[in-house]
Amino acid sequence: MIVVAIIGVLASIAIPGIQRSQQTSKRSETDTNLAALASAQKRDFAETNRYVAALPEPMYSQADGTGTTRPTAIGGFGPLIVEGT
Amino acid sequence: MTATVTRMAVLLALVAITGVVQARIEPVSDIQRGDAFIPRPEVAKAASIGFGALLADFYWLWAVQVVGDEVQNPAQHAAKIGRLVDVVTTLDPHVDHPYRFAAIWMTDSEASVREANRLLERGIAQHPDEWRNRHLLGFNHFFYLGEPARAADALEEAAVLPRAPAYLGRLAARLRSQGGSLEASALFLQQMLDQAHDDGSRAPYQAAFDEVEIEYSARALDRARERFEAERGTPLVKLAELLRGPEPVLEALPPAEPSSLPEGLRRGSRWAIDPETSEIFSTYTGRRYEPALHATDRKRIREWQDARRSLRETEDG
Repeated sequence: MIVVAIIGVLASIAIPGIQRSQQTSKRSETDTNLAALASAQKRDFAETNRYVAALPEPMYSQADGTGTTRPTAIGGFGPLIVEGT
Repeated sequence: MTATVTRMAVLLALVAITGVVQARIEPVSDIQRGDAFIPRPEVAKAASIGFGALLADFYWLWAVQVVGDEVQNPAQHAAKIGRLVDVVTTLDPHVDHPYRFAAIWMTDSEASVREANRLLERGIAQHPDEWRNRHLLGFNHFFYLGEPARAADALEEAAVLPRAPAYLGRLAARLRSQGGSLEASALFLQQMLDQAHDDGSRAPYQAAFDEVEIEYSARALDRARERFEAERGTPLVKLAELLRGPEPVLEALPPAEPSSLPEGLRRGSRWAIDPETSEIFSTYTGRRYEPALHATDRKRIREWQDARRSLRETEDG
């Protein structure tokens, strides 16, 4: 009973920290993807003298087959560096 | 009793004085400044005792958290991100994404961009077939450092690697032309055209080749304008003036459209002078053959170049 109580106390301390860490990691991934997109826009602008108004469809693909979508590549710019964060 | 009280008072006074003095001393270490300790890469490598990949994961998660923690502008932590990624890639050079992660966030100053380039070059040595590292290296040289020739070198290497997008080759050729080497641009585009397997992949390079052809003519018109203004002593207002007078500078204007354009696609393009920049351009392309940059980006590149020049002059004495 005491062991369970100790585990419970430890879990109650650890879980919020883990959740916060997960949220921070996701925000980091999102920020990095946005920064990469901005950078890709600048590179494309250098060549074409115009910004892409809308991202092309191939940017999105069914990642897990459940209907959720996930960015995997920027069509006109080539694959985006989204993996790994 | 009195002696004991005196000793206690002296001790307390010394403790209080020590506290006051310590509070006045400027913090010197990263830890005292509030920054966590990040070891030098070689120290981290020695301390990892063979568990480099494991320790690299720890520092990588830390770098990710630095970006995720900062809501406003993660780039202001560029130095910290650079140190962390340096440790990560020293401990485990086979990692792939951290090299580009650093390049994306290390853009706040020339020092940061040069450090990001050093990390990218390490990544290129580890992953020679990965076009994205060379691509970002070229972009940094062009967009932040204003070094088009080095940018073109990196982008040309990236453009021929597997899965590289077609626009890289075109951008590399455009950058190559900036240093005045239009022949090198044409040569590179010709190589890309020869390597293209089908009409779909050949078309963008042919379009770039057409732009180079028009740029040749535009530069010839630039030289004609210089001769006109030197001979007549007045600025050229209309291109038709080049053809007028007892001794015209030119007998005819060059074609404003590429020679490869089929008759049915010709649209009656002409040469014009931009009223804002005074540049001669063909209405077929609408601009000169050079990379497009916003005025703010041009300003930043100029400021960094000026700072670099003045630093060099100061060092030279």
